[in-house]
Amino acid sequence: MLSSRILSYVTFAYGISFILFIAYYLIRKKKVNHGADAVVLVTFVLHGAAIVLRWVESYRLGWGHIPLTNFYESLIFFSFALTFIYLLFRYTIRYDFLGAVMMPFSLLTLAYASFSPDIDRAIRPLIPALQSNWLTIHVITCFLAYAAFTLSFACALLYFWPRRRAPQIIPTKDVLDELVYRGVLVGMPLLTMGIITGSAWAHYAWGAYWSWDPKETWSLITWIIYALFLHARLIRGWRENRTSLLSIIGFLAMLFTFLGVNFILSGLHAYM
Amino acid sequence: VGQNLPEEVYRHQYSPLLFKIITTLSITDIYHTIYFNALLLLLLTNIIFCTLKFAPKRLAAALDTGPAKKNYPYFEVISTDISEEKALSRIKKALYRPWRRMRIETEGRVTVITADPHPFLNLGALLVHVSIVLILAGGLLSLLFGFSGDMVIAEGESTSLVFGKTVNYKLDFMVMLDRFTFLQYDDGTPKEYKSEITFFDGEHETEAVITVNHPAKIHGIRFYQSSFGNTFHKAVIAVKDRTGATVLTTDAFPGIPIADVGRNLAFVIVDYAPDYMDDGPAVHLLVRDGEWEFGIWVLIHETDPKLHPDQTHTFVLLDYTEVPFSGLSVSRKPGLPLVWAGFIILCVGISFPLMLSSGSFRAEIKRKQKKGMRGITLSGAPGKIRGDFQRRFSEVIETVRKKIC
Repeated sequence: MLSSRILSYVTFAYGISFILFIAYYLIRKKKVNHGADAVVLVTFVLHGAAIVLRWVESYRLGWGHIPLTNFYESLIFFSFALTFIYLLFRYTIRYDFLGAVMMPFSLLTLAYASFSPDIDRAIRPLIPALQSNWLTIHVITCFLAYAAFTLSFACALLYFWPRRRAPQIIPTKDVLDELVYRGVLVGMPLLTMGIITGSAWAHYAWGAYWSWDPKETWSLITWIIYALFLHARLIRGWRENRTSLLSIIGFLAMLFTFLGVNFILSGLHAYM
Repeated sequence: VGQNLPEEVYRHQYSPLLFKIITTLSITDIYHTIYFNALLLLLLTNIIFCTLKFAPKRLAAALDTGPAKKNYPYFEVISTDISEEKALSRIKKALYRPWRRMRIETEGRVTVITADPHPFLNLGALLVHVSIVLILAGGLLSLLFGFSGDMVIAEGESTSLVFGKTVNYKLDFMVMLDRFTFLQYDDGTPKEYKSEITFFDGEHETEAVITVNHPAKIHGIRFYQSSFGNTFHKAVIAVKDRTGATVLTTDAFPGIPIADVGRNLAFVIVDYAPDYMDDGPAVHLLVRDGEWEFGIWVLIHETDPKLHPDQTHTFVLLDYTEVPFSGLSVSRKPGLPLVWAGFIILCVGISFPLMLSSGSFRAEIKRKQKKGMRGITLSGAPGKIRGDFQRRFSEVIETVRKKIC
């Protein structure tokens, strides 16, 4: 399929952008960073085009559905969401180190989707439960939330990185603390919308807006951890070390919600 | 621990002691236990009291219309020669965001523009907590005054019985399954499950089509497509005498007895197995043959080999037919409007802190007394996030400078 071929080129292009971001730290020329961002921007458009093309291809097969319905498609969209969140932060808050931090996530996610032998890349028809407009909004909001939490997590990891090893490269603690917090501030409304739209969808599809399905329960656990983060920061005044740690714990819970639940537990989200 | 699985699964997975512990504590269905729901009730109480505690302060902050009293730790003076009106409108444009409250105050020779996150945004936390209370209260209301269960109807039949988790319910109207359709894609993947239903309350008939994602609602009760399958409908039974000659061939429906008075014989189908002991379909007959009563499984096309000493007749299942059935989830949730309202308020409230974090800005424009340059003092104070506010403040200065210089 043409879309899959484009996506493998997109993977390489993300790899190139990552190399350029690293090169920027070695030769310290702004142009290299801008060049890397230009590559990301073009690749992002190509990535979006590949998703649209896969959508068109599904119509050609006679099934016609948005490509957000299986594990392969969710990984492709997650990678797209990661790049989107990167670009959003890059062009609103303008920290130039973010590319080197975020691109590995987009790259690894897409590389896993594109090259892993265990993943089924075929376009399949939609089972009745998935034939709903709620699918689009539910999946988009969830993955954008995951991407924002990933940014928060990446900055939290960098926060704990030994500063003395690369004092010139690692941003100040204030900056990282800000990004850890902003990631959660962006992710939390999106995750809330993701859970609520999923709940509304479950109401129509399964007859219950909350069934304590493992995916639902773990998304609630993730939501509670990030709610704890917000309470700790806003009420208790937690900063830096402690909030960064909470962000890492939240990310692990998020990862389990996304992958662990499907691989380890069984439930109503088995098709993901 | 997997929830609501068949008992054998737990027996297979856990040791007898562990099995006893998890079943005694109802860990196999933990979300419906009294102690889990008591915890939810405690959470609800906790959130209500927390909300009542901080609500007055937040409401006062949200309704505050007084002047901005902020200290602005960052400031810079920009010189420009453009008119006061132009400077005012361009700075206003540069500082404008939909979530900021812009205020312009003139005092003597000085005009001050302030751009703060709107005080209304202080309601974020209050909205989130109120929404959670609404969602939990809605759930509780549905639990106390609503019901949910399953309804199984064979095509062409009707019922009013709903099987609940612990209690069964009888609807005050009948639900008839006119037709069930199961469509597949070319590759065999399920495409659609469709139940064509007629509701009948003694006076009125209402027709509805139920598919997955498209439930039907009548008298406040919702019906969802949940499962489907085939159920036994009719069998053709041949009765033979001891010589092997067929003495009777008849259609038999489950539960409806067949009697042959002349031969002093009666039988009824009491059960059906689609694959009895791996030997194919079979029906379970309850037979009275003369003075004798016994039960017997009769396989398709196979004469019952075990002739009882006093049994004068044997049976053969010649044919059978199945009809589709539809499984519907049925529920009435009076708390649902509260839950929906809670969902919407939660979505709105939880996005407020993001906007509240952007910081406050102030520009002071002094009226010129004679021709020359005008000094504009631009100040800034970080919001909830200090971070690298200094750099972002410099960016705002740069934007304003570009607009007015």
